[in-house]
Amino acid sequence: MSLLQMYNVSKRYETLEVLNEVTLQIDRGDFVCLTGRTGSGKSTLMRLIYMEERPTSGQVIVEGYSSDQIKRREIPHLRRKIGVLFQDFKLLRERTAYENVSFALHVTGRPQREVRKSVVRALTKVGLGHKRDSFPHELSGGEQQRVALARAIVNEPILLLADEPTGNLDLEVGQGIVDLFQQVNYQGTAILMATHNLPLLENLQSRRIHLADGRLTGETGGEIS
Amino acid sequence: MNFGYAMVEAIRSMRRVPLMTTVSVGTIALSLMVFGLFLVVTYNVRGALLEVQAKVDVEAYLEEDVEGEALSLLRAEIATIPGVESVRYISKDQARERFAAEYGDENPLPASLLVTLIESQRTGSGAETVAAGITPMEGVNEVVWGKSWADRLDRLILALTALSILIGLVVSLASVFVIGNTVKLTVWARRDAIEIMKLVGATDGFVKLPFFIEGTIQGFAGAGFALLILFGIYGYVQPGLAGVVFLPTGVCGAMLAMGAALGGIGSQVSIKQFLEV
Repeated sequence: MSLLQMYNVSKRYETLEVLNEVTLQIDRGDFVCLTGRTGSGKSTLMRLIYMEERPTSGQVIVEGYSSDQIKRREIPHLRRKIGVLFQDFKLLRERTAYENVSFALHVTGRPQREVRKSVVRALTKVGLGHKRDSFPHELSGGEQQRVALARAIVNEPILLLADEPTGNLDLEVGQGIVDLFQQVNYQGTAILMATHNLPLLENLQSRRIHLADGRLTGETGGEIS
Repeated sequence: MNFGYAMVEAIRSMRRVPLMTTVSVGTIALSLMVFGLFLVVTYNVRGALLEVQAKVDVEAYLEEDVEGEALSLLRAEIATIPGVESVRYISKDQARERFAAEYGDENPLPASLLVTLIESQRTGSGAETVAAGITPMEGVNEVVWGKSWADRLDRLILALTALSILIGLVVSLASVFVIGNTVKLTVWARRDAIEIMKLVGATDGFVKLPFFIEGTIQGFAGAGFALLILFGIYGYVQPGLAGVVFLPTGVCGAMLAMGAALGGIGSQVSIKQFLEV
């Protein structure tokens, strides 16, 4: 069974149609790049997946949770299986790198000892084990995004959603982030990365899908189901 | 739900923004102080009026020669009237002792029965009912009670009660509004943290608990400061106003509980709009 299925999903905000009859399937271990201009509906598509939004019509099914049936209290449990990354990192300024990452585990009620081990492992994975006590303002943009990545993967998600993760970074630093995505992907986590930074994708083996005016217009390297 | 973690989060969050915490506790303290001041005034005015009300009684002046068995019967009969607490006999001699200086050897004062009313009956209408019951009795010459002032006292107490409920309602609503908005500010300052908590899969309860604890602590502290300030003001003015008392312990406790509840509930109301992530 697929990890993510979207069937004829449309999303309208009053008269503005953001997504139009989008059908998409992502399987375990997939690496999918979603391209499209600003305003093409990429972020909305992401929000539909972690169910911050519900489709106006159609159905989104993530790991067995369906958008037309999921209860409000079930959404947190779905989100624990999904890691989310944003262009602006969304780190808590007044917390250290370690605390920013451990935050994601505390909400799931993990015991302290386990939290410590998992956080150190995640920070080491993104190459920031030595900066665990640094505050976001003491880190570069690339480092901040890596902390955010550590937070997104510390729960060992089955799906990582990255919405323009390199938008605030230069190409070289952005490339470093994408390399980390690949490592995460090799370990079995499916990745959906929205970007309009096309040079970044040149050497990347992945499925490519393109959104234009709310419609998925084509795919290379994989199939649109 | 890890209460220990929520407690640590609440305390850390207050320490991270000391200015915001101080403003919040200060605002709660000020609004509860106004409320407390109102309570002290009402409590004292009401206390004074009730003290006066305790003096509402009925005195039945007796005809000459009512004594012995007739007197005992009369006393027993009056005692059966609903609303009567006790009946005390004041003999001609006792009455005379009180007024001897003024009247010399003559004693125009009749003997009387001083009828004390039960507490609930110490009103103008209560006294009137009892007086009406005594008047037709044999041996009773005249029944006296302070009709006009007892009635006025009734109206005054009624007006004060209505006024205190009205002002109390307005002041407490204003307190809820001010405290609610203050707590909203602290929640607003941490909306990013709430958004991230929701994104990483925190349940609503998990997000709310630290804010609830924070609001409760701030409300409790605010009420504590309000009481301290009030007590300070009381200590300052009390020597000049004999008989003025401070709020009883129970009311102080209720104010602390009210502060804690307002802070806790205020935080939950304020946070609701940030949970829709």
